[in-house]
Amino acid sequence: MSYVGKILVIVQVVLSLLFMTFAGGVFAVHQNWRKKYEDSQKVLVDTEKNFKLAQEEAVNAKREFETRLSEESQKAQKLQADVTGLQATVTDLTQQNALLKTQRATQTGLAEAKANEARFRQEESEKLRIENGKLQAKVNELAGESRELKDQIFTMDVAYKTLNGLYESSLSQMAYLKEVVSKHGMETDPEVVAKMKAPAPPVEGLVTHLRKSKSNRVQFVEISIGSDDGLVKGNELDVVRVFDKEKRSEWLGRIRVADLGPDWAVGEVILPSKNGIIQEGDNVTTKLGL
Amino acid sequence: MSPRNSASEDPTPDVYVGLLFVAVAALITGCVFLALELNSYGWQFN
Repeated sequence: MSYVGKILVIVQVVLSLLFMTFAGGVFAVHQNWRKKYEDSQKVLVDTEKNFKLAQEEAVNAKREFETRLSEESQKAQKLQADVTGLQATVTDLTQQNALLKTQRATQTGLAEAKANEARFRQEESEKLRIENGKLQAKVNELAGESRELKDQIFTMDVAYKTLNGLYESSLSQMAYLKEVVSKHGMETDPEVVAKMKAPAPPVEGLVTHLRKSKSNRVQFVEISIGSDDGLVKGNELDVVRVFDKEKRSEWLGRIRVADLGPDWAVGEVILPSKNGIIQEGDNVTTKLGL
Repeated sequence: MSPRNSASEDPTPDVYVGLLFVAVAALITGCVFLALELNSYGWQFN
């Protein structure tokens, strides 16, 4: 091989290596411009689509905004009218507020007065509560006493019933005894018996009638004084005869009152005298006291 | 140029023949890279 052929072989080898290197470098670091173009086109189409949508939305929004603007204008006019009405209302309410403030001041004064009164009443109620406590204690004490008194009343009631039974039985017994005593002609009235025991009152009277026994002796005499003069059954009187001319008197006997009325009495001769016989017109008296 | 001897004797390959093979391999590799690059464009040249 000639010298020039050798050089050409070497140059060919070097250039082949450079070609391989550049081809590998292009393949390694290349950018796919076609894909980028397609992506850009796609992005452009999407952007145009979005732009159209945005324009439609803008038109709709403008239309809606105009509608709302007209509505809001109407509302504003209405609100303006309302504001005018509310201003009038505010004026009225201001006047009412002033009136209410005045009333509130009045009510505040009343409330303070009421509060003071309530405070005084609270203090008074506390005092009354203390008094109530004392009274409650006293009530408890009195309740105890009342209970004791009720026990005593119950005891006394039992005793009363017992005594009442005894009293009724005694009444029955006494009625029976009175009947027995009356059958025997004895006095049962305690006042009459007391008077019988007492000395006869100092009275004087006259013999009005006589009754003699079968033996022709004076058995009963009727006298002119009775229970109105203080006589009772059992009183004993002396029968005397007064001789005015001779200024002397004669004792004729003693009688015991067996029966009597208001102005008369009948006496039984219990002690006749041997000096004389009792006659109508003789005096009877209790003043002798023999 | 050296004269040709008998036609039955092949010349002994030397280093320059090896360099030619290397050049061929490099050209084939470069062609493969270019083919792959064209493949990414779908073999469209415009």
